[in-house]
Amino acid sequence: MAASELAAFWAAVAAYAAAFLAVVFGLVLRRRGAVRAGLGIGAAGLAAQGIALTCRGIGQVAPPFVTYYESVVFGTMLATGVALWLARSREWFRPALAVVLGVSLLLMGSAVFTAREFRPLGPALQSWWLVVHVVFALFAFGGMLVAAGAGVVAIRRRAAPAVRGRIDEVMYRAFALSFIFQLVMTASGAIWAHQAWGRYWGWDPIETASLLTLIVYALALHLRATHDWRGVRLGWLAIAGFLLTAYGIWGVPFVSPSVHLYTSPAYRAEAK
Amino acid sequence: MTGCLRILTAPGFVAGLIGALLGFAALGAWMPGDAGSAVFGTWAFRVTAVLLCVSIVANLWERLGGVTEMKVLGSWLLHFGIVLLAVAGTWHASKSTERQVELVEGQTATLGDTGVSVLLDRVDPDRREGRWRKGDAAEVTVIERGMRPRREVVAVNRPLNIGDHWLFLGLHGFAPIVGSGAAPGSAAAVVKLETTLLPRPYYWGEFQVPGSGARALGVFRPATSGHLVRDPSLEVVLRGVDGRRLGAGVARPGRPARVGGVEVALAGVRYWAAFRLTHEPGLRMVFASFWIAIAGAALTLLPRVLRGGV
Repeated sequence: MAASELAAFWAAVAAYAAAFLAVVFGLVLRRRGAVRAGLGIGAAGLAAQGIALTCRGIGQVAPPFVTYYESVVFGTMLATGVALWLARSREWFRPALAVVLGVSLLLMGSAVFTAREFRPLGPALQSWWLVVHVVFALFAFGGMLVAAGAGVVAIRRRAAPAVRGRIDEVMYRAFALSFIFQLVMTASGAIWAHQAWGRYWGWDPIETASLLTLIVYALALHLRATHDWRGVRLGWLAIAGFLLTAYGIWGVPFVSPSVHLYTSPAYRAEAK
Repeated sequence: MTGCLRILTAPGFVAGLIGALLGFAALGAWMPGDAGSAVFGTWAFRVTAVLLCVSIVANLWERLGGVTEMKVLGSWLLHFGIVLLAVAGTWHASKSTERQVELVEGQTATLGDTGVSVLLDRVDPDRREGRWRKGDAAEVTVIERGMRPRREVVAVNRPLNIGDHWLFLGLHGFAPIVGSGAAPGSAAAVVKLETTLLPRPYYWGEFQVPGSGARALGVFRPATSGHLVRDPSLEVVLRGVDGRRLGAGVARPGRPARVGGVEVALAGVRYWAAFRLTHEPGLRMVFASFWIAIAGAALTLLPRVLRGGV
């Protein structure tokens, strides 16, 4: 791990921690200046995260989103970027930004304890499909983290009636985008699995979890469209969708052995 | 007919099916290995999936019939893609076959009753530095019944199409030829070693020492020059018949390792590769259904996402 990458990563962690504290402080004590400062610091953290990933990608001459550490940094960067952009001009979204920043911090903290050194990719992983498959998986994760942030705001029921519709709209759009991303991720994964392993679907635990996630997204979209699920109920679905997405990407290998070994505990034990 | 449609579109019925599907998926995800996969081969799962597909079509017919808006067209496409995927996936699962074979350079194998034989001529690992996409490949001679043998290349992530079959390159690595006694090659066996993916990869495997009851753990750290292996040596840790550790040593060509009265000779090193031959009717329809579903999802969901003004 290069010194420049390490420095940028810790700068991002420090900036997100400061931004989180500033936003929470500003929201609780109704200090708009503190929230605005939090937005600025968060943007600086986002830039530092981008630098850390770029350094890593250049250093290892491989896409920087394969290991747990890399995918956490990339996924949280996407989510934080969208949340900061939404919160910049939409005051009602700022509590959701606090949630996104807090979750990002937790995930980045967990990534610190995993193997961060680069390891050569196995032959099957040396494919452009890796880029499509993983990037879309992390896009879906980013979308669902934003939806979950909005979901927490919806569940608190403190938003003004005029704002509630906007929160619902953010959740719905995040679900819709994540559904498309998850579909592309699944399709590209199937084509790649056929090329690399000779089968497009094998009911591997991670594949099954991704299908489960897709079903939950579809369920949320249908409930919103046909049964007018909004507010608290859609909020809970957004949180469930986010947890399931994160579990599908990172959690499954802790529970079941999987052919997607690059994120599993076995991989980390061997890498150490 | 109307009664059937009413049942198929009843919210409780659809919710029950989705709940059952989620239950199967959760069970499959939680149960380890083959037990998890077996859940999806049960009749209960298949019946649930078929009922859900029929219910999707019935619901669409009732809710969307006759509307030609782009959004509605997208919804039709998305659901059609999912139903097509279910049908094509079932067809593929019931009709596809696969065979696996492991070959050492110079070996030939006939792939089941396909009438296809494959001779592994050479494994060519890509050792170019500074590239994340490598092209490990195997040169093979394909011998089909009634046809002239032909040379082909099968690479990782680049399967070879043979008629209505696909040949995939799987695991591959070094295969030391080990024997017992000072005369290399006597009662020799080819040992297929697997690789690690550490920054400095090595190859390892367990094998029985030919002509002896002892078992050995072999570790091979290759120094290569192109396809050739320079100064090969095999580190071995030997265990007796009773599993007791006898000791460790290093075997080189002409210089066997002697540990606890057992000799391990290294006669040479070749490459080995695992191949998978599949026959997959319906595969193109499966992939097409994915793209139809994605196109439908984009048509029906993206306009609202991109509308702005939240």
